[in-house]
Amino acid sequence: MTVEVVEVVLTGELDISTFDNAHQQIEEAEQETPDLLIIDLTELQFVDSTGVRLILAADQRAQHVGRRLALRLGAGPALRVFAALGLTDRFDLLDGEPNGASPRPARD
Amino acid sequence: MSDSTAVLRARIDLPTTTGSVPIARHLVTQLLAAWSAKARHEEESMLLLSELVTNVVRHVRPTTTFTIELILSQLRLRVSVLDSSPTPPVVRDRSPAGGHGLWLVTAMADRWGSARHGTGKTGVVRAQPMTPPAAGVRYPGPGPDNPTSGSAWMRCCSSTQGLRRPPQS
Repeated sequence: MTVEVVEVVLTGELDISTFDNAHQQIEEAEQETPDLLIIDLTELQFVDSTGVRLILAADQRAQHVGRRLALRLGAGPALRVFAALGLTDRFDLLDGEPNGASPRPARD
Repeated sequence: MSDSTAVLRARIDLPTTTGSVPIARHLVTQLLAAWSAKARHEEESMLLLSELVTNVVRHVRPTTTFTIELILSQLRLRVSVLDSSPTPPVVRDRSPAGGHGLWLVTAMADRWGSARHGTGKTGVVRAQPMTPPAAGVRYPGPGPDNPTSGSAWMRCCSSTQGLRRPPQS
């Protein structure tokens, strides 16, 4: 059985001014109906609680349709925010680089 | 420490729009660099500033402006965020829809609060160690109200009245 995985890598600065753009990228990934959606926050130069709001909403949608959600938080700003809010135990966390696949694998 | 010992000041008025959130961070980062007062925990400082300004742009009428005020004295940097709403910030229950910003401030700041000023209010107090100012920048000499020897304090987003002071040694 093949597990369809789609990974979204967010870059730049994630705050209230870029929330809509980030939300749109995640929604586009969700429209590919993956079994596992990975959201990579490790390349963000900055993220505040807006990022938490973004991920919690994605988690709600994932639970609603029975999709698995996993995060890459790295060791930088994303981990700082999620750890400060005590949320690191709430999510499936993945380490390291994307697993050899492109962030948004092309569909045949 | 009173404001009379401050040597460097800046006031930045920004429109109450979401675009002001990253601009505020970038401006304050550059200002700290220009003042040779780079905070030891600058990432945390910018995170707190971002939360405070976000709180303003989410809850205050967009037709207004808000003000960031920075005062660098010998050992402290005080950053105040003043807006036109008299409604104090409220820590509410966290939900996917929000409420995380002030929880984050509570978790990361040494102290915080808000105060009324005129028709509006000023956000959140914070104290944190910062690196000593660079040589060549003139500051008033040490005074009796300096914090513990060898440390310095940064105040983030304090009020312009009723200021809380860092613990005295």
